Amino acid sequence: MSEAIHHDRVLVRVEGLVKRFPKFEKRTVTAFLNRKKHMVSVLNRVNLTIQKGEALGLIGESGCGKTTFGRCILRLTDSTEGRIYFEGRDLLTLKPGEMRRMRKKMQMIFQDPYAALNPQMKVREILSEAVQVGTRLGQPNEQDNSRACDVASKLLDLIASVNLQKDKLDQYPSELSGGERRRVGIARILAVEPTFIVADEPLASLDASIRSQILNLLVDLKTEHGQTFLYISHDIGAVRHICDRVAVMYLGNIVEIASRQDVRPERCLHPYTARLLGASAYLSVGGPPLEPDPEDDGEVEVPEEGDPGCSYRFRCSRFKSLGKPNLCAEEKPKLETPPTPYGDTHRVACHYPNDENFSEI
Amino acid sequence: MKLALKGMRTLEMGGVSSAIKHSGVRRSVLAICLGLFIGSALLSTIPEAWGGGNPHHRYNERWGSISFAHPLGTDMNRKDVLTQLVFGAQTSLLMSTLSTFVFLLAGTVLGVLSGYCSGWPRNVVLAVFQVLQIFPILLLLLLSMIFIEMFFLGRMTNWNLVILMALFGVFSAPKLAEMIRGKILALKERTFIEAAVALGLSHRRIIGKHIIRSECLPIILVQGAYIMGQAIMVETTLTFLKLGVEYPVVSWGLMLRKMQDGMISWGMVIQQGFRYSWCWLRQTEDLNIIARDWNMGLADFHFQPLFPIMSIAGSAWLFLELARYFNDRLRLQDGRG
Amino acid sequence: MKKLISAMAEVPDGEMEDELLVQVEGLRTYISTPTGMVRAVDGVDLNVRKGKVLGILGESGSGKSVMARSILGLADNFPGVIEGRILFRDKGKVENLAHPLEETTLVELGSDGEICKISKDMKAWRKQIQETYRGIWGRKISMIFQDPQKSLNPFWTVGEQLVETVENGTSANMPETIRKWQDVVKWLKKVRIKKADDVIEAYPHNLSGGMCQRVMIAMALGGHPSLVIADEPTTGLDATVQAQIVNLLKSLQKRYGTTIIVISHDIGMISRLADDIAVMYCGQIVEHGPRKRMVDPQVEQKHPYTKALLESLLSVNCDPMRRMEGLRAIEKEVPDPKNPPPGCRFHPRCQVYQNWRTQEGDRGAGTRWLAQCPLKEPPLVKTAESSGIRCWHFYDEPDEESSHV
Repeated sequence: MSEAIHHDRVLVRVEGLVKRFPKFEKRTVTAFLNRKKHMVSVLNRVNLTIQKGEALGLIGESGCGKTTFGRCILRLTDSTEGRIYFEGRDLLTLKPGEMRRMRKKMQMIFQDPYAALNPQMKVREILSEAVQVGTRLGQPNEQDNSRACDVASKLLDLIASVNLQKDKLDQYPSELSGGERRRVGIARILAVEPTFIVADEPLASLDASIRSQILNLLVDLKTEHGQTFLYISHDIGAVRHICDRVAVMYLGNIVEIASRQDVRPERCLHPYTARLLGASAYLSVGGPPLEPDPEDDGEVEVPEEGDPGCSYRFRCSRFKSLGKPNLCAEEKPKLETPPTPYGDTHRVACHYPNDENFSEI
Repeated sequence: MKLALKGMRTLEMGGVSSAIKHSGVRRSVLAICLGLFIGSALLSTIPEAWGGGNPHHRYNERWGSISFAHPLGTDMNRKDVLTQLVFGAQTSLLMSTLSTFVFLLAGTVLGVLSGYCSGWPRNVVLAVFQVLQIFPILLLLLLSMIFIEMFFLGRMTNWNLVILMALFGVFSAPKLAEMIRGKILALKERTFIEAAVALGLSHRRIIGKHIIRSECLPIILVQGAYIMGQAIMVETTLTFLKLGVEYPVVSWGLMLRKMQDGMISWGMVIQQGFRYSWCWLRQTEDLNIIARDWNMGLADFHFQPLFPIMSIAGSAWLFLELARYFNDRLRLQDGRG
Repeated sequence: MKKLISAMAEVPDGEMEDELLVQVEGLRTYISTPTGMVRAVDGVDLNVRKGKVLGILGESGSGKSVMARSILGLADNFPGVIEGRILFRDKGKVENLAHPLEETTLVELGSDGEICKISKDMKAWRKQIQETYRGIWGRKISMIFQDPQKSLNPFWTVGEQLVETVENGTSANMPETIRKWQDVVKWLKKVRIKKADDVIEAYPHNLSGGMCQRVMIAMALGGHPSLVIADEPTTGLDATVQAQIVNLLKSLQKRYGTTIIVISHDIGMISRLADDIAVMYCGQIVEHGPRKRMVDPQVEQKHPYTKALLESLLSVNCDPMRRMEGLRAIEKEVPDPKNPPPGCRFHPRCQVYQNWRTQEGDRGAGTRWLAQCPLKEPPLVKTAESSGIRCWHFYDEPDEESSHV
């Protein structure tokens, strides 16, 4: 059933994360000078908590900011505002040397497996570099005491743990297939022995048969090695397979957090979640048919910067069916637990979430 | 069935693919050429390899013609031209190596710094680069020569040339620095660099290993080869202009200076070519006789200046082939080939 | 010299010859690379029913894109299409789109029946292809490409690109240019783009992926073609946008009665869109049939590959409590197209064959022919329960064995 959040097992805590990008379309001098005013908030005060050993899924459409969120947690991109606590320490206060040592514990599986590997290094070199970094960062003085044969035996262990054949070690990334590249990326991450892994679309651009293999590998990592995951994807089926809790993101806000069992069209509370799940169910075999919403086809309206109301209201058929209530336009809903029969940990950011006759697609 | 037999391409299934064979042969030819070049360059610095030789030894004949003892003849001071050429090559190669070294070091370091760092010092450095690139390098060298003479050294010592060649490397560095900076800016955004940062690698390692090794090495090689050829020309020019070494050090520039009176142009070469054919028709072999015959005022015609030019061109070609070879290999590694 | 004849699949039950729009017979497209010959399409027979949607399902490397390009005459590599017929039935006339093969290509077989030499006059082939397809491209057959933002011309606005291809029934007493632009606006509205005026002046990089794909659909359908080939039309788009595009294609197809061939690796999308499904693996069609039968989990007689694909999908989408069992993954990787396994190309990964091999005692029904799996390629045959399946497990000795030779 739904899982409570134990405060002593929290691994990652994000508070009020904001990330803004400058946006100026007109290439004039005045636009350049005023660029600080024209910013787009890709992440808009995001609060999230991840516990040790759990897999949290983050779903949403492309452009909603989920990849940016994952990268901000790992400090690959610097956020504009907000705090990130990892194992209780604020990452933004760390010095560069300490941050590098912290990086050993949190790693990322990148979306494009080919781009994440240096195309001019053989797989053996890529992995041994990772192993050496791992040993070096693990020592207090960053000394490298490993010998060549240690590294070599560790390489063989790594290759075996991701089910790759040994002869792949002497090949270049361009000679490997998509699934093999993905596995080399995962092996590289495992070489530094992290505790927290952000997986950014790990199953994208893979064939159906390979997808299952990689997903099984990730599930093994979670259940046998106790890794904590932040699983970013727009493939809801895979997310539900591996994750304990699922967060739904829309335009930089988290609109719903629910446990696996509750992420179904009939049990979700936010209208956007219902639409996502409905579309995904429609595109699977044996799913229900989809009634097209003529309002939602084509380009959708996005609220302007500084809009005080709910950002989803332009697409929300619930908003329309309730006669465009003013509350939605004036106040941004907060992520809180409504009174539902689902338990305390199902949270939603909507002014009118509960409805029995809720059929939103 | 009617088949158009003209223009048919046929494929035999199985067998060694031709592309791989072709590149193998090409590579061994290149390796042989490279070996020959390096070998001869090294040998040229050892006079004993050329059968001993004193560039200042005066022989019997002035303006001796080409013979076995004197493959390129002798000049107006009765010195052997080939020996002078070889000893001059020593000077040129030494100076140009120094220049190239300074160029590569300065260019790479400045390029990496300006690519990686941000802030106002970087902008100042870039502006300085732009200004430096406007002026012709020779002009800059002459100006700096004036300053050096005024403030540091007296006139005309042999060390002038060393300093000038080092300065030549420095003044040419902005071009390389900007190229490397461009590459770094492009690479910084690539995902595998981000992955290396996520892995916890220090910046030093990322730059050294990933950036320079992968993308910058071809640029460095090609620019280094180009600058080496240019440096040889610049050294010759400076010595010719009396800004470099003097007797008893041998240099090509000194040879040219001596030959000033006998300098010819390409047009004259062509005319001499015609004369060659005329003398063949006339069953005579002595060019000097022909020259006097026709009395064109070029009794002292010598082919000698051509030889250094042709050797420079040849070595430049070899260097560029080398650079292309490296580029091909790196491209194959990339998988983009 | 003799032409290689493969066993032809029969026409599905109840269909007569004149209801087929495209009939592909024995198509072979090979691509020569420096490291070997890739048999991209190796003996494919397809029947496309008029007014229906055919879905071709396959992973990357199965040759489905190459097959689409071969049908369209766009397989320009050497040696390209070397064998086969592509019969296009339009308005009562039957045309073999691959007829340039007769005059430009020569395929020689060795003593073991395998191809040993291919000779092709590329220049004459290309010239004849241009002549053959001149009236067909864009007018009778059109294509929707994958990655719409890259497939549109980045230097022209969307309107300029559409103006060339669309035509609609606007009245003819207006000047030509105005009529064309009005057609463009009408088509943009038909593909449910609301702000048509803004989109007409936009460049492809200004638009999102979903919008570009709608524009491509308008371009493809604008000329009222008889056949549209859609190559991975929804890959890379979000789930909501994918659902919208699928709906759009369905409604347009119903409205205009266009025949569509959809190529994808997404079973869910194909099961929504297609009336018939054909599954491709390693350059061959391994199973084909009507959609209901292919995706119905109750039907047992399915090719092991199709079954494994469906299982790996269903277990991801359905019950979260099945996580403990692990997904049923297909082991190993897709084979190298230059060097496919001998015999049945799926046998190294086939659960049925591996089970039979390890349990020697099992001699149940359907295992009579399994010894042939690593030795000989199974032919595509019609059985009692399926319209075409290429598997020794389901192979029945046909009554008239030599009827198609």
